[in-house]
Amino acid sequence: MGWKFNWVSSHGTDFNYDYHVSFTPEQLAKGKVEFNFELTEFPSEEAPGISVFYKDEDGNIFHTYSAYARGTENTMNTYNYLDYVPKGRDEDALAFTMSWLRHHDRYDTGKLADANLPYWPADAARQKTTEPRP
Amino acid sequence: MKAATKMSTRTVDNPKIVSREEWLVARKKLMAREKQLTRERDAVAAERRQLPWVKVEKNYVFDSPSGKKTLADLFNGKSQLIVYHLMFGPGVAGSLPQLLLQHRPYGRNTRAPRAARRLLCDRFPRAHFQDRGLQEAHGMEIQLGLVPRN
Repeated sequence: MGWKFNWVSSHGTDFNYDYHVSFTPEQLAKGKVEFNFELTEFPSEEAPGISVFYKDEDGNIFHTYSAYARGTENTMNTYNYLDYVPKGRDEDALAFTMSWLRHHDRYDTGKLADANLPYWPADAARQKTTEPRP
Repeated sequence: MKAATKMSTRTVDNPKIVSREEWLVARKKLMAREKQLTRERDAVAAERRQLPWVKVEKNYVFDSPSGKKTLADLFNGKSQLIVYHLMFGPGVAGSLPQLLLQHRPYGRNTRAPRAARRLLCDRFPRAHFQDRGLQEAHGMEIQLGLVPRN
């Protein structure tokens, strides 16, 4: 218990939209949004990603790199461990990948992600069972 | 579970048991590919470092626990900045507690690298943080091997 992290809110700025990890309802209404460097259907206003920046000695800032979807998988060390074992990630039968993720003291319940607190919309979860991973 | 009605292709359902010597031959064959992958990963990382850059012209201002911060401020004295986006928007209920789990190595196990700062950035309004009971986000960790399928 009790670990901390650095977090800032970009609420009210273009930041997340400019780096293609948030989409406006208008963009989503058009059917496809620019995610993972292509136009694609996306089930949520918020998307996962990593953005990298460099600042030179004069204070100029440059965007150098972005990754999305499975391109961020290196940061999920759990998968690196699971790739060592015979059953592997073992997610084929799940409604969506990482639905096994939960609070550290709630693993014993045997439940998947709380249906009332999904990190994908419920309909997206069903949809993803028939689609390849992004 | 549907998987039971069709022939399983998983090794754990039909493992091949061999001698230590035979295992070693198979393991070494796999190691050749693993080494190939390691070298390829190095090569891809080198190519990543050679990507061109795009100058950031907008003045983004973020809300942080210590007040308003510009993008330049977020570097915190370092020259490189890694931003994680966790899908945590104003309209998303409860995503942060679950998604942060995958960042446990960031939160607890690792120190900031020499010349890069890492932080999380999402659209969720900071003022609403406590409204959602998100102090809970401080109490989570990943447990391994818990995919609920036998």
